Amino acid sequence: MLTLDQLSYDDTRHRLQGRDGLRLRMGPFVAQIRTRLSNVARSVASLYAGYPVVDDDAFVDFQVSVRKPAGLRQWTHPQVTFGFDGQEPFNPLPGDQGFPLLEWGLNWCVYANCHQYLILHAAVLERGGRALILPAPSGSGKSTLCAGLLFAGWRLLSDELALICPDTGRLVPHPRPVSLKNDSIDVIRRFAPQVRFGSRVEETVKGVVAHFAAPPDAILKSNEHAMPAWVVLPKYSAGCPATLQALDKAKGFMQLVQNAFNYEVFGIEGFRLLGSVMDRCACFSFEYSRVPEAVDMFARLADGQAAACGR
Amino acid sequence: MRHFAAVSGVEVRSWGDGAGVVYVPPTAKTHLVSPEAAALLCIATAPDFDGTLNALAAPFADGPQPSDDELLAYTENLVNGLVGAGLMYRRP
Repeated sequence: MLTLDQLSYDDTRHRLQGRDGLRLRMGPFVAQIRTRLSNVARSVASLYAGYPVVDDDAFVDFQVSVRKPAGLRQWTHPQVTFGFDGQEPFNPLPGDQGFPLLEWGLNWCVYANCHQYLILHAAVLERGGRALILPAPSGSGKSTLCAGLLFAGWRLLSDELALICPDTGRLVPHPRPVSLKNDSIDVIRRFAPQVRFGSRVEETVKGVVAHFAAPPDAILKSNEHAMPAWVVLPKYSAGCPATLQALDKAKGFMQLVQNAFNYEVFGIEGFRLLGSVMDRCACFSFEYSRVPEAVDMFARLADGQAAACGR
Repeated sequence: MRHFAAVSGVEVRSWGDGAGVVYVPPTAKTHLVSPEAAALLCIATAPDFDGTLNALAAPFADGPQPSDDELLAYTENLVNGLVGAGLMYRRP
């Protein structure tokens, strides 16, 4: 299996600039990426280094591109646009935001198109064959917690999108670069000094954004689905000690619905599927302010010591 | 007590004695309902539900048999709550 880090940077850039693009497998999907922007090419080469490069005749799920729009503006206020199957679904962004735009665009490709899965806005990690679902809106501390856990031995399935297979009820891995924002970047840098962030991009709509690569283990195990075992609703609260509290499953169910991208597409089948997820899962709310404390509590949760966590 | 009816095709899930969730096909909406409403809906949406007061006695099965007045008050409260939430409608 050819992986991106086996190609030279020049070869990677050449493919990204070519008509057939660079075809990478990302969990269950294949994305064909095209760009002539060197900052995006460098980030792709660095943050997707371990991903399988797919043959040119392989089926492609998403044909995407990041490019500079034409016009005089590119010389005064450079911008970048995201393309998907010949469409440009988003407004252009400032020229230095090419890689974040690619990531946001790829997320959009999945949740707007892949209705073979019920998709939640949630981080998903696995330990001991059991999956932890962290559904939450942006700004709740979900990605920070997810980053902390994956540096503490949990396997990353996704930091952003939970893909639930309607046939099996299992969670399908879709590991991609982990996106952190603002203060979370330094929080994780302190927690895991070995982390290597890509370019730090300032003044995005989400503030400062930086990505780090998914761990090699997460990419290698992209075919290993996991059965859900815990639904935990995370919330960062400054100064708050780590607190895990049992949550009524019906309320947890409603949180899954509220964080679902395509629940309505599934109709009654979605209701039954999320019901079966809740049947299998213990459900908690979780507040925290310090990542080491949070990680310790989730280790105890995984070891079956939920009672000691305040359950 | 035949003045209410569950919306056809309504499905309900509940866990233990906690709150429940209800899917209402005509609106394709999912609602959170109280434990009492969930218990009632579990009965009301069962295939053998005959719409009579007797079927509603099941939530009291583990305790002493309630009087008719207690059952009436119980079901009236539930039905009023469910009607208010748009989960049930009264027959004209």
